[in-house]
Amino acid sequence: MAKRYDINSALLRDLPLINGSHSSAVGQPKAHTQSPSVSGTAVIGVAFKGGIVLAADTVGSYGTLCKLRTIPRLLRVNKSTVLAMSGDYADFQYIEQLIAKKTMQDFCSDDGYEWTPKSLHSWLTRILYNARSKFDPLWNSYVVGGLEDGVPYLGGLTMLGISYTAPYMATGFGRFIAQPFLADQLEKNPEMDEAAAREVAIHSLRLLYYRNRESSNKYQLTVVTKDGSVLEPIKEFEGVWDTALMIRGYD
Amino acid sequence: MNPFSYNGGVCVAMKGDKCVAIASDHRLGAGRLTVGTDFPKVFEMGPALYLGLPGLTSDSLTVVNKLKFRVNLYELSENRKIKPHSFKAMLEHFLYEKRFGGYFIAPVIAGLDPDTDEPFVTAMDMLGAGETNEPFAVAGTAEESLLGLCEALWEPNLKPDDLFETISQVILNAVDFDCLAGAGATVHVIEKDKVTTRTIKTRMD
Amino acid sequence: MGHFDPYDDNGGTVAAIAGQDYVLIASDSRLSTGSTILSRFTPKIYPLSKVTVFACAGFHGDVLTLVKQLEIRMKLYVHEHGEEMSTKAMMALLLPTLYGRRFFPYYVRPIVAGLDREGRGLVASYDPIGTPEFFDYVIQGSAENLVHPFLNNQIGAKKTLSDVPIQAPPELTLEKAVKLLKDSFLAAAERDVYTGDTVTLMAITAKGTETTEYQLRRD
Repeated sequence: MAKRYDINSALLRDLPLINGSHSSAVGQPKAHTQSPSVSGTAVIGVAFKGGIVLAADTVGSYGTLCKLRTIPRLLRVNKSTVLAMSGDYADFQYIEQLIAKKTMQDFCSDDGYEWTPKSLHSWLTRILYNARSKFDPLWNSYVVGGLEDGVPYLGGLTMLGISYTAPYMATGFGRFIAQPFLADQLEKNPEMDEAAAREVAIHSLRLLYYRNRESSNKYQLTVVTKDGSVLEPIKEFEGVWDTALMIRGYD
Repeated sequence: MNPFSYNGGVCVAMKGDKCVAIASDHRLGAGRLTVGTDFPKVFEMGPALYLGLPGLTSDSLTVVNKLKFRVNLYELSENRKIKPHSFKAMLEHFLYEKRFGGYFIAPVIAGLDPDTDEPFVTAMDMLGAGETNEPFAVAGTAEESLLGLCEALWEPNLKPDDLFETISQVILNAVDFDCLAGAGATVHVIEKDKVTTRTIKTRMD
Repeated sequence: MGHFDPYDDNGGTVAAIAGQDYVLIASDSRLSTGSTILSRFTPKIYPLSKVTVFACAGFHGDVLTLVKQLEIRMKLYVHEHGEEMSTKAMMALLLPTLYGRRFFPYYVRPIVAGLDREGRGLVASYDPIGTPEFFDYVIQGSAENLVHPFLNNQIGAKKTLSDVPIQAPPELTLEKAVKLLKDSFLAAAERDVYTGDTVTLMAITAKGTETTEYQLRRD
């Protein structure tokens, strides 16, 4: 049966999720890239009344090493569409190039057509699905966000080409840490406004910062409303470590 | 080959209104070969206490005998009939004694409390991990089918006749989906002073 | 270095019942991977035309791809023939579509359901490489083992020893069918961790399509 992957956690990646009987490369003709190298961890997406917000920290991990501390994992595609990525950073850069190329082609056509969140989501799904079908996967999961005909759109996508929509989502380790929090917050406040959604997104990153060694307190947000999309500058939040003093047994 | 499905067979028990029912199929197999069609897997452990033991038949028969011995010893030393609750505890301990290398069985217990006439039903795994707060208990090679049918067909406070009809429909339709179980079924409906045992026909393929 | 597995199992259950003058399709809306839920808002039902729908459990990447494939074929058919493909034609088309990937299969459990030209209900289910079955009621996905015997019991005239072909009796009305599938999914959600959140029921009659939703367990 199918095995489960969590592409974004070095912790899980180190587990033998790979079938031992296939692990020998001796005599194998060719090996595609079949594991990520520099990777980003969880991203958060929250839809609110009139828009969406995506959030991610800025670490590029190399196994357990925090190799790159300030890399953007959010992409502003146009005024209605943004993208957040977790997983292999090189594969993301390749996707960035593809998107830029398509954007340029659309611009040159000068027919008024450009990316919408739904079209980007659908197109990305095809790219990732085709890669997996060639046994040369792009090791990413994505959250696509924006306004589709003025309606907030939030789409998730995994490396195997599994895509779905939901009013809130988190990838990687965020599925365990942030999703329950997001579900709870949206249940309490279904008509969330932008300020509340930002707060919820940042708090999700904070929760991840406390429990996920791959994450950091340097983060970036992108917000799409009817006024357009904004990729905000990288910011930092302060950790509150008071509770750490109450943990015994490690001093 | 999986010892739990080598001989094949299922068992299901259900609570009713002041009554309880337990049923098993009749097939005895050796892998895909049917070697017997008259082999119920429910055993009488007391006047109102029945034990269903689908699984590896040799283990089932061993367990029945060893357990009957313990029940007899218990009833002699206590000078009273064993209660379903106590019997469950006894079986749990018995099974856990063989924590490493256990019997390949999936027991189901059905009985009435001799004092209160409270219906009692439970199923447990081969090491004696049981669940008592369910209104029905299933085990055997058609476990999923039985569970789905129980979940959809069972309702609270069934009278003995309705309980018989319900459990019969459950086991009949479950074994029809299972190549390793079937060949008829036996249903015991246990009431205060009476146990009604009926045999029902099923498809024989 | 790892061995890449291109498949996943995203759970979920789909079911359909064909009646004399209706067809009823149901799906839960949970999408999971392993023990985590990806989405609680993804019913696996995809309308292909006014009278034909496709419903599919299995690996969602393949499901989406297959749906796209069928939608494209439907569109091309409309352009060529000036009318929508019939339910029977779509049922016939799915077989080679699935078998075309015989050696790298779509990991899917599909159902095609719809009305024929006379307005009667039709249902077909397939295995991952295209083997079709034409039963009047069908269930596919993670809870099929739990629910199939129940539908057999309630619809399939299996209450007796007779070997009646698996057909829905004429007295099975749409209202009764809705009740049955609702109960089926409630029972499935009770015991199958991959089925839950909501059940979407889509009823197609000559009058049109009606969709209803009911809550299921969310745990």
